[in-house]
Amino acid sequence: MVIDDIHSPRGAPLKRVVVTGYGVISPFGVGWETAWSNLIQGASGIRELSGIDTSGLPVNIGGQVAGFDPGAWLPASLVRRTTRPAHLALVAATLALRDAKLDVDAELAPRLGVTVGTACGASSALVDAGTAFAERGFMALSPYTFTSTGVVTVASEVALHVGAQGPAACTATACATGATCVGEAMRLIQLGKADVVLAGGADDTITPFDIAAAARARALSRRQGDPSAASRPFDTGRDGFVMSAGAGILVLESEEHALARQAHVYGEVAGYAATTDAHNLTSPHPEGTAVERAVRLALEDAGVTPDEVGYVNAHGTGTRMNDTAELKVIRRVFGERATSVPVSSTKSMTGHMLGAAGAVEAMIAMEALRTGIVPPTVNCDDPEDPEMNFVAHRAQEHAADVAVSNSFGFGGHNAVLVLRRRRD
Amino acid sequence: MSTKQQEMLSTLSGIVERVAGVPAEKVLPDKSFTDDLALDSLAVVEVAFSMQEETGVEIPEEDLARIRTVQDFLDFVELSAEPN
Repeated sequence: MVIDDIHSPRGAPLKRVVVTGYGVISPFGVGWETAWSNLIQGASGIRELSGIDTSGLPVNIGGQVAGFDPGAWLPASLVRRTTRPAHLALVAATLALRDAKLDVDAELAPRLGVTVGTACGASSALVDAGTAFAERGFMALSPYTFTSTGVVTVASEVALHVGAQGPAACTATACATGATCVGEAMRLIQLGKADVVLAGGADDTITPFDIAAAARARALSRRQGDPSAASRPFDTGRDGFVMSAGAGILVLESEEHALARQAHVYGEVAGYAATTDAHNLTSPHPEGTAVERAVRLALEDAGVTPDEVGYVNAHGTGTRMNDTAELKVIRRVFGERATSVPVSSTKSMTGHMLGAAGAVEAMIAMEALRTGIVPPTVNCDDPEDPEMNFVAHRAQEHAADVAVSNSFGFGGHNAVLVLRRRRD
Repeated sequence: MSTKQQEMLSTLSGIVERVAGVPAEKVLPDKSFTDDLALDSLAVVEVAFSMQEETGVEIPEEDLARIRTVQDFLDFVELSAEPN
């Protein structure tokens, strides 16, 4: 029930934290099952963009969430007063709670927390409101402009919709947001501040403004031709990441709470650590020293050694600098085992779902442990380090007990999660 | 109620349904937005905002404060829409 040798500041033993629900919306569609089945087949969610005007932009590919109608899931009034990232978060939270078979009753509500973040939030809606304001003045603004474009809105709306009355916050660490939110949720439960937390992130930056902004920051792949070949983590031909929309929310629960209600348990969130490069706003530190510290601290937090790790879900964005620095860290942390531990970047298939990425990848790492199937890194035709096992092209079978999921963001934010297979 | 007001009521009730989830058929002239239809203050402003988008009639906040019922709303829009 509790971790014996670690204690909270007041001396209470830390509680074990398990995952009992997955809620995912990805470029593969709505739901975890469709995401997982596409991932293990090595399918790509990256397409030429449709429905938005990309004329004049250097990028016209990405991972759109096709066929997602928030009105099919949420009350019309809620859809209307919120923006796209919140729609994704709200539906992912609904799916996660449903998967966990949790009803929010009067007993659970005050013990239910929310840590749901977003990297870019409602930036596009804010731009639209700003344009309307500039053109037509005060009366052009909806009264919901203020509330819907606030930073915390994704978390607030999720808490309001599901009736969560425990701690609720939006913690943002750019592209590490999803992992940070899962890690901070783990802490809330370990310390007894909540029994259940909805944790993850959501973003939808597949808009002309957001694509233009990211492209101006020189972050995006400008590869021409086959869209599914553009996201190329660890391949020498990579030239930037491919942006996608999505949401990932997990139900984290104290083990004792999950066992008491005989919940289905996917696995354990065993460790988490966060560090910051403080080196450059957009470039990772070339040696990855703070990343290495995050990986080692997260393993220590979980009480495991690098030798016990059987899968690494890499951050692996497909930018030149990230992948080289991350590779150096994996080489250093795992030593002689670095070339035998499977390391894959599922962003090769999903694209980069920004604030959702770390949360969805935590589920992927957990599912790899649970099923023994490791999803591949597609497009890794000419690996930067040919000795490594990047699980190139096709999924592999590996029995493992412990997985590491790396997430790093602009600003030098590093968040590392350690997942553990459920020991029956 | 004039034909024009009936048309406006149809527009307004559709907006109230979209904004606040209140079924359009419950949006009747004698209903108060806050007491009967349970709209919060932001929802009332959003209804006015949407009506403005659809009809072009602006409802300044100081006037909105005096509008209590659906009929008040229809009267205001009709008066404001009349050419001077």
